[in-house]
Amino acid sequence: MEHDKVISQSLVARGSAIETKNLAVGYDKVIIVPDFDVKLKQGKITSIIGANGCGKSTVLKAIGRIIPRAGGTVIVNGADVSELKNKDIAKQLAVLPQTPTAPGTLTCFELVSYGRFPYQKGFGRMTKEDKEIVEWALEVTNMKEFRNREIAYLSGGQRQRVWIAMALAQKTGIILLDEPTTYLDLCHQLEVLELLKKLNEEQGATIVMVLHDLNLASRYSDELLAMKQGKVFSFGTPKEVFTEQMLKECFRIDGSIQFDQMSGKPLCVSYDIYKG
Amino acid sequence: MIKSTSYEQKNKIRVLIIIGTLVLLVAVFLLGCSMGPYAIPFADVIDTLFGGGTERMKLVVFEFRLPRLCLALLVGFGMGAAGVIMQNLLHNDLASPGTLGVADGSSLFVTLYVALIAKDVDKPILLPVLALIGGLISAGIIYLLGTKRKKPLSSTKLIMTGVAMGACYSAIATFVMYMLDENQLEFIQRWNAGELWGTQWNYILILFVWLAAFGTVTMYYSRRLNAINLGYDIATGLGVNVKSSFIILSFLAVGMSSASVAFGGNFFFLGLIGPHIARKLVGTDARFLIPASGIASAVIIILANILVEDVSVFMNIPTGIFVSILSVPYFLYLLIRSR
Repeated sequence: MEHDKVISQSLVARGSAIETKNLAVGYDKVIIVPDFDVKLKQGKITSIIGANGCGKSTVLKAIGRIIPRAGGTVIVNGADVSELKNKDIAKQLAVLPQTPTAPGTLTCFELVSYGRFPYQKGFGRMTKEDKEIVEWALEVTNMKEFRNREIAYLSGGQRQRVWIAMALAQKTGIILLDEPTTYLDLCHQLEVLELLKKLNEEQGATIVMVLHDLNLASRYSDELLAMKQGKVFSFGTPKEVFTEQMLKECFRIDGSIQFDQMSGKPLCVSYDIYKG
Repeated sequence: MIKSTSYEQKNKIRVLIIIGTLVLLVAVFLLGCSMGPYAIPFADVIDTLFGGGTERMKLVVFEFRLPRLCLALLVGFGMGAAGVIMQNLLHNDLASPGTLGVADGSSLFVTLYVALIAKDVDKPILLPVLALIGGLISAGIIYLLGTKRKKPLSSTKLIMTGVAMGACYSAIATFVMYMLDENQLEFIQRWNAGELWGTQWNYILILFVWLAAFGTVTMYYSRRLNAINLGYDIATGLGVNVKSSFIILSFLAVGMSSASVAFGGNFFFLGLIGPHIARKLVGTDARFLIPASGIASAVIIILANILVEDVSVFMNIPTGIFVSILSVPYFLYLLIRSR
């Protein structure tokens, strides 16, 4: 019996990081996402794409329990989140909302140390282990040299990296990010995505994010999830999802897809509004 | 100011700053014991406190000055801590029991009590309880009106609701005041202006125990307050149950501020300025900010009290007025400089 249990758990662990069943989400009485079923594999980078208002951020927030569900279940690493304590979810799943703000007088180290919250008890002094993990998160995100700098004195790209470091300090296998490249210039966008890729490859992190830039999503993701009007339009590898048909249906865009010579991933090079 | 110092060093500096403000607090406290209509030299004050001194000194220090100063100190602590909680909960430096309608709710209840029940305001023992109930009920109404069950919290909505309800409470209180006789009216007016009236030792002891209990729980919740200060979304992601923490922390803030003002009178402005000064000193971490804000507020209120006691022209003017007179210029200075 005991043995069986261990095996089944490890099977689950190798399967879906996140699974939703009949997930419904909305604001007030408007249901934006009526019935959403998806299984996101462990150790992959998945990007959710879709037009404005298609419900991609809504789904991400509902999975990250930032907004309440109107129905359905979310399963994280095999466990129904409604049966878990909020702190225990925070040990498995880190969420970074779009353009978070922090008091500017906090230093990077202090901000990242908040990532240890789910592990601290009572009055919560930082243990030696906590401090080591914070240092590690700063190191991985290349923010070590700024550890004592106040947030107000960071560039946009550095600020996004320090938030990612905070999420890392939660030591979760899964990180959800809502448009992590917003307001960043091209180079900083690449820097953030390279960092996420590195985390995925070196730390085995499962990354789920909402991205607006389709070419970047295609380049950095193992899987794409295209949404249309609150539903899954298509889900699979960039090659399977990033098609001219999808551009028409989801974005009302008439685009031509080519394949990148370096990565072999699909790219949309020229496009226009679809007048069909 | 403290830029390239490490986490440990920074925290050490903060502890040192708090110790520094404590020393300042002790100094103004002793100054308060020394100054007044019957001035006692500093050395004699200390002598009296440790059991020496003449009979007259003992009388002045223990019967008149010490109770008032202790009350002022506690009120300062309560208001300062409550202000930090509210400002961090709502991500708004203007949030305080005074600006969010909670004070008006307390005030309304005290007014109603004086108008309807206690014709004799000489022994208003129920007052603190009423101010607390009034504060809690008004905060509860604001929370119910400003939130929705299945939706995340919105600080803007809560602040707007608080401001609107505050106007409503104070309108009712003003209405009730027209029904009061002269004695009752004077009491309410003095209470609203911030007079340290509850200077009996048993009141002070109750307030002390109350604030110590609430303060300890608040410190226990200070990490949650820090997480909430990053935004409700971030806090949720970090594993904080935002709504329940919000309710508990609001309860603590209302409990501390209502009890303080019930014994001390209306000192809500301290809840705005204390945290502001403290933030300049120790930053935003609630573990340091709450004690620092309490101490800063206590220093201000004791200084105001010294003015009332020492300058004979100001005799009989409620201390609260001097809190505002002393702190508004400094508050404006901080605001102008921070641009």
